[in-house]
Amino acid sequence: MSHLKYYFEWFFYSLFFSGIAIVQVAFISALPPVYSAINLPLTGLLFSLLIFSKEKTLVFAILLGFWLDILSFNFFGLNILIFLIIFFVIDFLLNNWLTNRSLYSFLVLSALCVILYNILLYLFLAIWHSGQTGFSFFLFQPDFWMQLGWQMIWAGGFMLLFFNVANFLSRRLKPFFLENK
Amino acid sequence: MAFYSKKNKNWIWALVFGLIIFLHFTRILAPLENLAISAVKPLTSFLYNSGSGIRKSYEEGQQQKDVFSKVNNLEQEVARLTVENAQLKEVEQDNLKLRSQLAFLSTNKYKNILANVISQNLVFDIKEGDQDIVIDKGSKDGIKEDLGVINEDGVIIGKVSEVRDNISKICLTTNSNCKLAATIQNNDRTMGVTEGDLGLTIKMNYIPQSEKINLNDTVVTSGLGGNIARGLVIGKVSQINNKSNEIWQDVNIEPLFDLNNLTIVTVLTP
Repeated sequence: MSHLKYYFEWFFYSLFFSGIAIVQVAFISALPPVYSAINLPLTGLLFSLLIFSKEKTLVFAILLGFWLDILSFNFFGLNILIFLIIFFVIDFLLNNWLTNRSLYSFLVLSALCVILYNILLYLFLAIWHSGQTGFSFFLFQPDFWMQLGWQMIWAGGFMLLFFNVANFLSRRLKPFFLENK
Repeated sequence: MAFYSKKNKNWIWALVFGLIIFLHFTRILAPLENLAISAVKPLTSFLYNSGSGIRKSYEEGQQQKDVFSKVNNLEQEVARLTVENAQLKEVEQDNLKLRSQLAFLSTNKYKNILANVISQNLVFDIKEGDQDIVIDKGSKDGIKEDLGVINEDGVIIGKVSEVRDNISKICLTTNSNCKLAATIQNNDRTMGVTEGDLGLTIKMNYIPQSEKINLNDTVVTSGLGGNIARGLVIGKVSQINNKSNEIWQDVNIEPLFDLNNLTIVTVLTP
């Protein structure tokens, strides 16, 4: 019975993370400019790292990257690689620097996640597209900074929401206000 | 801690990543990828329609201020088109009679493949003016690169730029990389190549100064060089840029489709 529950959990969460990637590709990409800056896979990955085990999160990172790779026309493996790099960086930060699992730590982490994701994505794409006509380096494009800003706002907002919801439902994450005893 | 050690299993994940890449490029993973894409096609199509609907309402709300002046303009346009339509019907009748007398074969030998739009480009313009959509039909459905794509009104919206087994990427006519052989329907039947301009409008460059072009002239595909049929409407001339001291002139063309309305498109295959 416990085996069945274990497999069901895996199936359910895999479906959930696949759903996140599909919603990102099909739904969020079609939204008006400000809303299309929402990056659900990144938020999902970060939150998964806070809730699930390291191994589970790595599988979800690969799953998210796989869906984004097969549904987009960038070179295959780009998103998987980025999500794996982000995972290892965030895991390192959580274990070494931001060991206090407070809301503030998570807000800093989500901001770092967004910055890292965008820099890696556009750096790889810049290398991929270099030499083509009409190409201009992403750091010189105002749209890049605009998108980065909005992504950070959305990621912070989602983190605020999910952190409080998770705190309300479980005690796994520490409360972010210190109690005065 | 070393990357390669018994305690640190990071190397296993690097191996998994390498294996996925290997399986993809050797096409061993292709059946799984195709199955996954086929399974989610209806969902992606539905989600894209919903997102597109929201975007359309949002932009309509933004544009509501201009709506009254637009209605007035459109009423005038309708009146003008009604007259033009009546005249064209007469011409069409004549054309039909002449074709039957000359035993002309139908010039439209193109087959249609209907496709749903499932996403827009995920990243902002890495190359200036890049604007693409992804459709749910690919090489397995008979789609090839450089085929023309039209919307439900028959206006050409772009051409196929990349094809995979089950999905294809369409570069829109407003994309700077989307070049189409075109003709302006003026007295001179000016020919040239159109390309997107910053993802907003379309441009036709290197037109000799001697050619007389008027605002609102219709621009259609010329059918030269490629698999795109002749006579598909690209847009209307919205601006003419000519200086007396230059050899060439160029025109801006306003596309006649709305990206937010693109949920179903048709790929024309020869």
